Amino acid sequence: MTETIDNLLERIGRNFQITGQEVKKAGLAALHCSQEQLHGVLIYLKEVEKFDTLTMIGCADWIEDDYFELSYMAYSFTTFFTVMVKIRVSRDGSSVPTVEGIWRQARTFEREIHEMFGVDFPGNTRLKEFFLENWQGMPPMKRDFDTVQFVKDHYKLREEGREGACNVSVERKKRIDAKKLELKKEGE
Amino acid sequence: MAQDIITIFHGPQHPGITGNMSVELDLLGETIKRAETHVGYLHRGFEKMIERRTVLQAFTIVCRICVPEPDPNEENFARGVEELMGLEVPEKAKWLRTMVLEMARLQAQMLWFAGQGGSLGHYISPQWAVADRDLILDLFEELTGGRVYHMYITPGGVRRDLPEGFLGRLGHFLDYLESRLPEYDNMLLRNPVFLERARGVGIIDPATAREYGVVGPNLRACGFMNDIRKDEPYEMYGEVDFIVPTETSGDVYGRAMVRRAEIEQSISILRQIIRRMPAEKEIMAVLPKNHRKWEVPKGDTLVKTESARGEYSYYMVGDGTDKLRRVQVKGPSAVHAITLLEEMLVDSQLSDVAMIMNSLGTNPPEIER
Amino acid sequence: MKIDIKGIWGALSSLKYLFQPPGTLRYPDVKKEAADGYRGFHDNDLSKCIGCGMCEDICMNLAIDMVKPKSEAYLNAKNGSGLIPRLDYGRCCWCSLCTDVCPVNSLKLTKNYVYVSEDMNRFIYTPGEEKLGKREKETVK
Repeated sequence: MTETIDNLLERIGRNFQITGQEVKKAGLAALHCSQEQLHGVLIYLKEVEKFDTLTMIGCADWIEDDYFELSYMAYSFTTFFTVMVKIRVSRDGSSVPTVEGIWRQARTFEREIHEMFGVDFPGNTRLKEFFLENWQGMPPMKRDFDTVQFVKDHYKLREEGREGACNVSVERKKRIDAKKLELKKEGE
Repeated sequence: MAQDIITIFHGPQHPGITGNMSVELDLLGETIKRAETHVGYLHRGFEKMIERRTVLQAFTIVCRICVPEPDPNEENFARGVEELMGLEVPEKAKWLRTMVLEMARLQAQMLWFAGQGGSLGHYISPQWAVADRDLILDLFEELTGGRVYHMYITPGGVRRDLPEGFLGRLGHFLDYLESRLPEYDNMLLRNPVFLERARGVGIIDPATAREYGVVGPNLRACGFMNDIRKDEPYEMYGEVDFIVPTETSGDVYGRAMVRRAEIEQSISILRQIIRRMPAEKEIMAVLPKNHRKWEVPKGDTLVKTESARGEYSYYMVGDGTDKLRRVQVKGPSAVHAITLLEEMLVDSQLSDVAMIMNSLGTNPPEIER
Repeated sequence: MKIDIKGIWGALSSLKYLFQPPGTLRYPDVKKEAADGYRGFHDNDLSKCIGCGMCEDICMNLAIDMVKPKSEAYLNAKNGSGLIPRLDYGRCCWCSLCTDVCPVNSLKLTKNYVYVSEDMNRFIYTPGEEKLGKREKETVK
C-alpha cells in the first residue's frame, strides 16, 4: 500500500491525542495538539516515522483570540511529506520546553522567537540577544507594538518640503461645488 | 612557554561572503578552539513591514530580503499568496518565472565564484566572475527594468512580457559563458593552490547532515541527491530535463565541484526554455482592479524554493483581510551559518575561516531579514 | 612532492588576457545607456494627468503627495481635483506601481538615473512642473 499522508495522520492519531488535523495540499498536513503532547509527537515523528529534519518553527500572533500559534514543521526526505505540529500558547509569560535535544537547529529558531515574541524556552542553551542590541521595549513582533510611536520616540522625522499636501476627494468636491454655484449664478 | 587562549573578533567585513556577520573566535596559536557567531548588522524588520501593507504593496519589498539572489523570495511570496487565494497562473507566466529563476541562479553562482577565489586571496576570480555576472544583469535590465531588484514575479503572474529579440540575446550570452567555463576551471578549480587548500577542509559529516537541516549544494556534496526542483516540482521544472550533481567528499572542494556542475545544468535548462517558450500573450491571472480588494482567506501554508544556496521556505498566514497576518522567512543560512558553522570551525585554522564561510553559502541578509 | 605541471600551466594560461583589450567600460568617457523600460526618474504629462490620486493611494512608502500646481493654466481640463503628484525621492523605491496603476498613462518612468545635490532639501520633485538635470532641479512650467 503506498504511503499517503492520511495514513500517516491516522497513525499519529492512534498514538496521541490530536485535537484537529487538516491536509492543506499534496505533501503538507497540519495537526493540533496540546503543549504536553508536543515532545511526544515530535520524538515519534523523528524516531518511528523517520522524519529527518525540522524545517522551521513558525509563530503567528492571533491577538483577537489572545494566543500565539507555534508550528513545528518536520520534513522527511524519503516521502517528501511536511507535518506541521501546532500548539497554542498564551501571549504573555508562556514557556515551552525546548526541542533542542531532538533537533539541534531548533536552538536558533527558538532564540529568534524568544527575542521577537517573548516566549520562553527553558533548556535552550543559547537564549541571548540575537538581532536586536540592548533592546529595552516589548518584543517587537507582537501585533500591539506600535512602530510609528517607536519611530517618533527615537528618531526625528523630516517634514521639510512635504508641506501643502491636499486630499484628492476634498478638493474634487470643492471644485464640483464651485462649478455648481457658477452654473446656478449663470442660470439666474 | 605555555600558550594562552586569545579571543578575536573576525568580521563584520569579509572578503568572501556577501553581507555582514561576525564570528568570535577563541584561538590557541592559529587553531580555533571555540566559535560563536554574532548576527544582527542587517536587521531591517521586513516581517513587521509586510504586516501593514496589502499584498500588492508587500511584493515590492520582499525581494530586498536576500541581496545576491532576490528572485526566490519573490517566487515564494507569489506562490504562497496564490495557494492561499486559489489563483491559477497562466502557462506563459510559469515559463517566464522558470527562466528568471534560472538566470538568477546563474548570477548567484557567479557571485559565489567571486567570493570563493576572493576569500583565498586569488583576486582574478572576483574580477572575472563579477564582469561576466554583469552581462546577466544587463539581460535582467532589459526584461524587468532593474538590475538587482527585479520586482517582476508578482502574485498572479509576471509584470512584463519578453522584449523583442530577448531570447536570441540570452542564447548568445549562454554560448559566451560556456566558452568561458574551461578558463574558470584552469584558473581556479584545477589550480594546485586551490586543490591544496580546499581538499579535506570543512567536512560535513553525512551521517548527521540531513538531521541538522543542511540543504542545497552542501547536502549534495555529501552524496545525497536532494533538490526541491526534483523532489517537489514547482513552476515548469517538471517539464525540463536536468540532472542533480552530487559529490561524496563533503569538503570545500566537493561543494565547489557541485556548484560548478550546477552552472552547466542551469545553462542546459535555459536552452530548453528558449526552445519551448510559448508565444501566447497572457501573463497575469484575473484579479480585482483595486488592490485593497485582494482578500486572502484564513489559512496558512508553507512554500519552498530551491535557491542557489539551498532550500528557501516561507510560512504564510492569511486572516481574511487584505493584509497578510504573518510572513515568516527562513533562508538556508539560518542553519548553515550559525549551528553548522560553529561546530565546523572547531579545530580548523584561522586562515580557512573565510573560505569555509563562503563555501557554505553564508548569506547574512536572509538570517536576520 | 609531486608537482602538478598541468595545473600550473593551466593557471598561467590566463596571462594571455594581458595582451587583450580591457573588457570594462571606460566610464566616464564612455557612458552606458540604460535599456528601454529601465525604472529611472519619473515624468508626468500634465496635459493628461486627471488628478485622481491613485498613485498616492498605492505608494506604500508614502512618497507621493497630491499638491496644487503653480498655475492652473497648463493643467488638463478634465483634472477633477486640480492637483498633481509630488514625489519624495528620499522614500521612493522605484517599484513603478504608481505608473502601472495610473489610469491615463500620464505618469511614466524615464531612463535617467543620475542626480547629485549637496542640499538634502532638493530631493522633493514635482514631475511635469520641474525637471531633474544631473546636478540641478529646474522649473520648466
